[in-house]
Amino acid sequence: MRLRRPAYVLPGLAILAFATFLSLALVRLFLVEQDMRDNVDENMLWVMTQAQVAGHHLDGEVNRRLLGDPEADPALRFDVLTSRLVLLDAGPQRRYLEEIGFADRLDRSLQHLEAIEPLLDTLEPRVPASGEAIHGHLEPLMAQLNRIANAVMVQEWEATGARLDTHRRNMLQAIASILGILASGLVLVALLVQALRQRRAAQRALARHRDELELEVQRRTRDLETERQRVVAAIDTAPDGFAAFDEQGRLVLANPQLGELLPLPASRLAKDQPLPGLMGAIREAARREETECDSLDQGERGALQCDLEFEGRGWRQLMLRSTQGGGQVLRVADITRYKAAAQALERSLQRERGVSDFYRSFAGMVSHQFRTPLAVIDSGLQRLLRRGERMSADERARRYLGLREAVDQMTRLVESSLTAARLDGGQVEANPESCDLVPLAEQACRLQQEANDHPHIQVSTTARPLLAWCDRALVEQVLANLLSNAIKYSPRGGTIRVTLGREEERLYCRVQDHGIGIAPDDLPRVFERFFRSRHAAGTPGVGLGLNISRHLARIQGGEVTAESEKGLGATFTLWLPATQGRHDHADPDR
Amino acid sequence: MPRRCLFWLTPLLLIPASPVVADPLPAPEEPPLLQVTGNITRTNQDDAAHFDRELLERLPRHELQTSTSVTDGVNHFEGFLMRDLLDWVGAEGETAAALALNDYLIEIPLADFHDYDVLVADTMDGETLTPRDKGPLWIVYPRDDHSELQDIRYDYRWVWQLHHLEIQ
Repeated sequence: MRLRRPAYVLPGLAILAFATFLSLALVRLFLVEQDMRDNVDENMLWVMTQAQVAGHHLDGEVNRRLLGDPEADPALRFDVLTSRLVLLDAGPQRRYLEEIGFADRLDRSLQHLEAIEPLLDTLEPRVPASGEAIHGHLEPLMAQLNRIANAVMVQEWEATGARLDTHRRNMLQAIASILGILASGLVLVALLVQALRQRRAAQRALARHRDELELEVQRRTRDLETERQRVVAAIDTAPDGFAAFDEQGRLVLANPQLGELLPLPASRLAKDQPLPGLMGAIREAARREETECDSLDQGERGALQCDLEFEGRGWRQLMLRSTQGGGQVLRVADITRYKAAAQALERSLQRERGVSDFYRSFAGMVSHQFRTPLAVIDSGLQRLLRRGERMSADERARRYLGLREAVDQMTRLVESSLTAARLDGGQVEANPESCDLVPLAEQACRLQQEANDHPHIQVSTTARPLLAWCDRALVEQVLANLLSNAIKYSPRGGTIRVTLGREEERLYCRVQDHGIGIAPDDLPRVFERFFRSRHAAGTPGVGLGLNISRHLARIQGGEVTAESEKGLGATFTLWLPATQGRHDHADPDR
Repeated sequence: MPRRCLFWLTPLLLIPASPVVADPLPAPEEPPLLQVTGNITRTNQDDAAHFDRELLERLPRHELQTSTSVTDGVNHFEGFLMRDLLDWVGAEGETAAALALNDYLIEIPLADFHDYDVLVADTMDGETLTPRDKGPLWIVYPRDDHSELQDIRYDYRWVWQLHHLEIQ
């Protein structure tokens, strides 16, 4: 503000001066105009002259009457002279004469006039004496009028001179004011010109700045474009797929590799496509259970990294990062090879760990479980060595049979231990396929009937076929185990009932015996390794069968459960996933 | 015409004055106060129209209040309109040369009498004008009603002691 003050103070002063001078000039001119209207005085000299003329006329008419002219009319001339003096005696004229000090002379003239009127009646032609009396009054009257006329002339000339002086003064002041108006007008014009010039200069400077700015913008734009093309070229030649999104999540840029790496329609990778839509499409295309990230949705707001498998295309790694500008960048890399190598490595590591576990487990089981039968065999053999000579042949045969049973048990123990150890070491792999459970169960029952000479196994099924998603060999092994257990704990000739059926997505094969059953305390522990119930002491067994069965069922996605009432027999059920509903696309003929 | 004049004129117009324009011009019985000569259509003595006071009083009477350049204050005048007189004598022309008893001669454009209600006054402030003052007749302009009449170029047309009009 302080810098700007002079900018309007000067024009303000100039305008003020302009208005002041204009007012002064107007006032002066108004005074002159008023003065010019006032013209009372100017008539006075004429009035005086006319009065003198009327006096001379009266004098002339009186003389004509004296000479005997009948046409002479001194009365009329007297009236005219009277009217002149009456006029002089009226308002403005009388005041005028009073101002110049000649009112008494007018009064004296009027007195002479009054004296003349009666003398007019006495006027006789050719009687000079009658005229003398009139002349005696008319002459001094005329002398008075002459004096007054002189004074009026002087007064009027003086007044005119004074008026001219006043006019001149007023006009000079008006001229001075007009000069002032001119000067302040010139100042205003100068200020205007200066302001215009300054404005033009400012406009030129502005235009220059704008041009410079435009050049700068062009240069920057060019640099940015070069930079952008460099980045685009780098992205286009990179092996990975890239996509950039703006702060509204719209696709700004994508390289061709992205389309090749993702099995998406080209429209999804068009410009301005929204990021959430793209992520949704990726989610749809990926194999759900093979995807190694919890949720693709979480990545839409922040950073995300996850591995996805696309059927027929292999593995892709998705990386989503927020950029500084508020946008996001998506990078898609082909990690199929890396993934395969990692999986192979993982598998071999698992295998190595399995071998190690197998040996450790087998060694543990051998060291714990083999001592008892070996001790039984050793003591039996020692007894035969020491007292064999004294034993009867039957006695010896019985003892040899006992030793053979011990060896058989060891053999079974070794087999079971090997199986358990293989399971522990992850050496057993399920190769599931769709297979009908009914013939499988019937075959297993038939084998067990023949092997154990136990004919009372009843098989029933609620449906046929019952397609299970399982490994046939492993299922056979589990069923053999469950059936042999049932036979083992059943009284001789006891009926064993095998029931097949379906519950929702699962198939079951229930093996029910009517043997001694399982004590409630023992029921939760029957699947523990090497667990043997006190009540089963009289029955041969190593306590691995149920444990192995459950393991084998579980590695195919199934389960083995047990239920029992003591003294009323036990029921073991193998559960397996049904083919239908688990893999809709699985071929039922396999 | 200003409202003030109408106010004064209205009552006088109600007086049953004879329609002078249609009347023939009778001869004056008294010595005439005013004679009109020149371009006129009605005469009563040779080529002139002579009017005594009685004849002049047949014209519609009008009043006027105005100040003058030679008296103080506002004066009250009575008389007749100059244009009524001119109509009566059938005057046609551009100017009227007004001659006074004191030989004062002034030419007045006839347009003045149509543009303004110019009065030929025979009384001032209720008193009959005489030749010893400004009588018997005084041409009076409505000076106060029209600012343009307050001008010395009109003031000299106020002819008093009027006794002769010459229409040209």
